[in-house]
Order: sequence, then C-alpha cells, then structure tokens
Amino acid sequence: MVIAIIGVLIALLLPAVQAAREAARRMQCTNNQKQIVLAMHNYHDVQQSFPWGARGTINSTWAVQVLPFIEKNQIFTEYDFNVIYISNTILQRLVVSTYTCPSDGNQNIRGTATIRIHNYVACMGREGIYYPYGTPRNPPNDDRNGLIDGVVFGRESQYRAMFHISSISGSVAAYPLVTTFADITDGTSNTVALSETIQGGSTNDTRGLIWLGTSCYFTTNQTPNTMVADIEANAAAESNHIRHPLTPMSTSSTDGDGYYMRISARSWHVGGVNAGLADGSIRFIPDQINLDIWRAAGSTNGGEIYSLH
Amino acid sequence: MKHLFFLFLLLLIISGCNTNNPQERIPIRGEVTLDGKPLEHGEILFSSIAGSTPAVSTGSFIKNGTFSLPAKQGLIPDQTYSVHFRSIETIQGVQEEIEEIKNQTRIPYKTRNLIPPKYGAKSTETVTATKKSPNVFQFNLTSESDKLK
Repeated sequence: MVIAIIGVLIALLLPAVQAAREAARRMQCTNNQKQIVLAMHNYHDVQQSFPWGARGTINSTWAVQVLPFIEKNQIFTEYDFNVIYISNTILQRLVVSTYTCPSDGNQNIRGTATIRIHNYVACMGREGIYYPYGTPRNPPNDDRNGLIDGVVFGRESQYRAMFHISSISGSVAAYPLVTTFADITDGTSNTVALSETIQGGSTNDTRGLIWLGTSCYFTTNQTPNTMVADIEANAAAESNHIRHPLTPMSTSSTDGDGYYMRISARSWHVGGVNAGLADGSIRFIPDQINLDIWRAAGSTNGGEIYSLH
Repeated sequence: MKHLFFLFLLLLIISGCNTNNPQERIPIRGEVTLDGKPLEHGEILFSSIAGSTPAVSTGSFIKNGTFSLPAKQGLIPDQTYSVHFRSIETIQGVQEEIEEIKNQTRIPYKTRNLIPPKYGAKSTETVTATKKSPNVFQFNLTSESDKLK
C-alpha cells in the first residue's frame, strides 16, 4: 500500500523534474536575450542608433554589428564587410552561445552547410517583409508574390519597425535604415526588439541563419508558434511539405521583383516564446496572446492603445 | 495513511489549475479546388475581419485538395473570417544550395503563385463557423480572368 502511494508520488514527481530542466533552459534563453538587448543599447550609446536589421546580402546583419558588444570583438574585426557572409571564413562552424537558445535541440546544424544557425532574431515590424532585388521601391499593389493575408508588406506601411532591411543589392531607400530611441514613439516598454525562431535544420530551410538578411528577423504578423507557415526566400516550393508539423514553412514566390517573406516567432519552450523589449526587459509571450496586442508591439510608431503589460 | 490519500487527492485536484482559459475555438475542415481539380498543394489562411475581438489569424497547408484545422488552431464561433489562398510551385530550380551562390543577384529558385490575387490579398471569400453546423467548407477557385499572367 505504502509502496503504491510512493510509486504514484514518484510518478508525479519525475515529469516535474523534467519540467524544471526546461524551466532552467528557458531562464538561460531569457538571459541570452537580455545580453543581446543590452548589447543593442550599448551599440546605441556608441553609434547613436540601433544596428540595422540587414543591409543587403553583403554588409552583414544586426547579429554581426552587435558582436563587439557581447565580447566577440575578435570575430567582428575579422569579418570582411566587402563579401557575402558565406565567404567569411571566420563564420565557418562558428557557434555563438549567446545567440543560441538552449531549448533548441538542433545543435546549430543546417544540413551539410558549414555555416551554423542560431536562434535569436530581430523584430522587423508587424507585417511581412518586402525585399526587392534591385533598387528599393514601393511594393507592387498586387499579390502575385503571395501577399496572402491582406497586410501591407513593410516599407510603405504607416507602421515603422525597430529593425529594417535594405534591398538585396544593399541600396538603401529614402527612409533611414536604422532606428533611434527617439523613433520609438510607442514607448520602449511597448515595442518588441528581439525574439526567437526555431532552427530550420535542413538545407532548404534557412530559419536561424542570422548572418543572412532573409532570415535574421521575425515579424509580429502572426502569433508565436503559429500554424500559419513562415514564408522564406530561397527555397524550392517542394520543400514546403517536408517540414516538422509544428514548424510549418513555405516559400516566397519569385514571380515579381522581390521576395515577400514572413517569419514568425517560434520556440521549443512550452506555450510561448521569450521576447526582448526595446527597454531591455525580457517577457514570456504566450501563444494565445491577443494578435492585436502582439502586432501593436511589433511597431515603433503605431500609436496603438494596446500594451504588453 | 488516510491523510496521505487526501494529500494525493488534493494533488490530483490542484494539478492542472494553472491553465488560463483560452477562447473557445472550433475545428473546421474542407476542400479546395482550382479550375475544378483539387488543389494539389498550397496554404489557406483565415484572418478575422477588421474590428473583430479577439483578432485571430490561423491557417494550414492544403494537401490534395483538403485542409483541416484542429480545435486548438480553429475558428472562434460566430466570427467572420476572410479566407486567403496561396499555392507556390517551382518553375525552375537549381541544384546548388544557397551557400554556393555567391553572386548576390542570383535567384536560386524561380517560383510562382498559382492562385490569382482575387483569392489572395484581394480575396472576398469569407466564412463563419458556428457551433452547430459541421463546419465543412468548399472553395472552388478559378484562375480565369487573371490579367497578371
């Protein structure tokens, strides 16, 4: 009798121990995001602005810009800004633990590629991303390219994001590529700067490749861990259906003059994602968050009445 | 011994009290055809029409003309959703992976959307799920009068 009860109690206890391990990993993830957001603040102190999201396929992403501020200056100084990230041998097999969420069991590996993938991604607004091949211009007002849910894709929207992307060739539009504290009129406590993505893992899936402009970001267009597929650039359409069912992925159409992309915040934490706000605080955002609130948090100047608190 | 049992019972009762009560959502499923044939692959997306509270956006892949959303990703009853479709096919693909493409203007894959804009961003299709009905929806799309091709 007593043994039966003890057995039942142990059966209750054991899963709880595993949950505690996951809680510890989530805390480590929170710490990593805190380090990155603080590094962005320090970057702002030095450069008078936050880093750019991505500047073409050349010229690096925020992840490279922030390196000196997370004590990875040796990588930053060896990074060659005149060539594409792939040609930077310093990045080969490089794993930056501060950029890696410990809950992601993928071990930073992406197929046979020598460049490792990570987890943390910068917020590029509340819509999708329009990433033109040539000179930046207004996105065409049709949806050949898979403008699937009636939202404006980036750039010409009334909403500004905290991080921006230039065109693929690196040319910059009339608007500034970087954001300052003064631009965040919604308030830094109401604006998301950073969150996480899952590591894609397969060669066709570039999620987590934060050195590349088309995958160094997320948007708050969909709720965290949504079943609505992420839309990535550079993938064959056939790869859409071989993904893990919890991390759906699709591809952008190239039938126009640029990519239309959208990556949502995702994690292997149970029930939500960690997100770093522009004020430096880290919050756990549940999957069931009201989409209006989540989208409001993605813009810096929307004037939305919602608050994350 | 007796109060151990009560303790155990108490444990059973209080465990699982932590979940917040999410909005009730109901599962839906249905079929999608393009020009009379089942849409081989694609995506369907449901988004609350402007002003709905709470705003919900959900969707799934379409495979061999069918889709289904489990209750967790389902629709909120009696809310109207606009429905958008998307189906991307590869028209030209290169075998090299992106790591080998050093020319920044090179597009590794050429893909196109099979679904015309009238079912995409400009879609006027709407659905409303109710608690009583079976919530099976049929969408018959046509690619004609697509001036963009």
